[in-house]
Amino acid sequence: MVEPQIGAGSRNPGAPPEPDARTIDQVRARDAQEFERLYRAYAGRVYALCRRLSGDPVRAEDLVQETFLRVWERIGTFEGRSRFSTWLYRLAVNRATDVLRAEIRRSLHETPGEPAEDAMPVARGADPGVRIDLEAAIGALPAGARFVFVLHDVEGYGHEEIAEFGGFTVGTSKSQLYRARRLLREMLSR
Amino acid sequence: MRHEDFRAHFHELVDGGLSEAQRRELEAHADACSDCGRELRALREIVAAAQALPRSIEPPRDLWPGIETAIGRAAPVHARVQRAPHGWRGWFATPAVPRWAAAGAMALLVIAIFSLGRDLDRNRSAAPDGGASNSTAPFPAAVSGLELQCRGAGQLLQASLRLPVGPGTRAAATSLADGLISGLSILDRSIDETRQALASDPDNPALQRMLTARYQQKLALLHAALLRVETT
Repeated sequence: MVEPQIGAGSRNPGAPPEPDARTIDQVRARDAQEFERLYRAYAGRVYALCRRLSGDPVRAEDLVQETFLRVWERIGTFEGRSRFSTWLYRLAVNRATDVLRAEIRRSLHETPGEPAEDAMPVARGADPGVRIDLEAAIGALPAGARFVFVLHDVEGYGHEEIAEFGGFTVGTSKSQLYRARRLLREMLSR
Repeated sequence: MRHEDFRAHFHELVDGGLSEAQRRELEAHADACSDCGRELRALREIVAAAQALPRSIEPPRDLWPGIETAIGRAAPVHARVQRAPHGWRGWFATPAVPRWAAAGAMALLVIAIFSLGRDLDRNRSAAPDGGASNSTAPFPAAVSGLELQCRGAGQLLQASLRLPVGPGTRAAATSLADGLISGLSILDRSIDETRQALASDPDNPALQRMLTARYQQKLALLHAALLRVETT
């Protein structure tokens, strides 16, 4: 499989510096201290990605742990042809896709429309004029629309790669993106 | 240009991919039509806001101890579970999870545990002594004990489950139970892969630690589920 040259790395301001070859070699040699340093450098970045993809902070914690366990297990297969961060984010997206696949599939077959009323991120009893924030609105999107929106508009992946991640067509990726944007606009203008 | 034509393409106008002529035509329409212009501005605002979101968000708690345990560097998981629940255990120990949701999750938990039971039975029948599988023979001694403990915890969990729960709670708890099923399947897959690797490299200490850690994780997961069942 061709490792991506676009995607998370293409829209990544403030990203931690890429680990050097020595660090990668030490983690390959099972240096847990070096691995912890790598985790500390990238935990926030991976958590943000997983939280937005899953829409669930608790599930995101598990995804982060599972992603780094996979790094530990598979670091020997990292050949350095792409940046480490690109490889790491791909592991995270693949793991999130595995966990969310059933929800994404279900949401792709829903009739396009608004999310359920009780899923709309409006605080009960709050000032109805207060605009909800984008993070909460993303979390309220249907799983498929959220998955595509986060990867495309937040992370900068292309539709071909998103379709490959999700196991659906490029056309589905585009239609879910447009659906997400429409729903977000509706939620944010309430 | 009709509004419908504009709206059929205005996402592509934001994302790129249109010819220069198409882009100019759409921009001209947006300048002339206040409704379409407003739609386009709103779309651009959303995309710009998404791109401006922070790239990094610190996890609400330190996740490293759970990873450290899993890779076999720290104390066994079961020694820590009461103090600092992590990973899959966290789903059952998180105070934010309503008790009714946990009760509903137990309904789906049955599926996972009975599947686990089938696997255990299959392993047992494959072993001539009716106990631990022969496949543990070349592996660390601790693994055999952990495998037996996992089997015991699974059987205890089966016996402790009390059903039924209502259909509403069942639906609401789907994601929670999915997590347990997912956690068990991940661990079992990892155990199988590590066993295979150890079969060809039996003296590899990293693999031995990894296999032990996976069984410790599996046992901790079952213990946490059992604790939840007992307190629900």
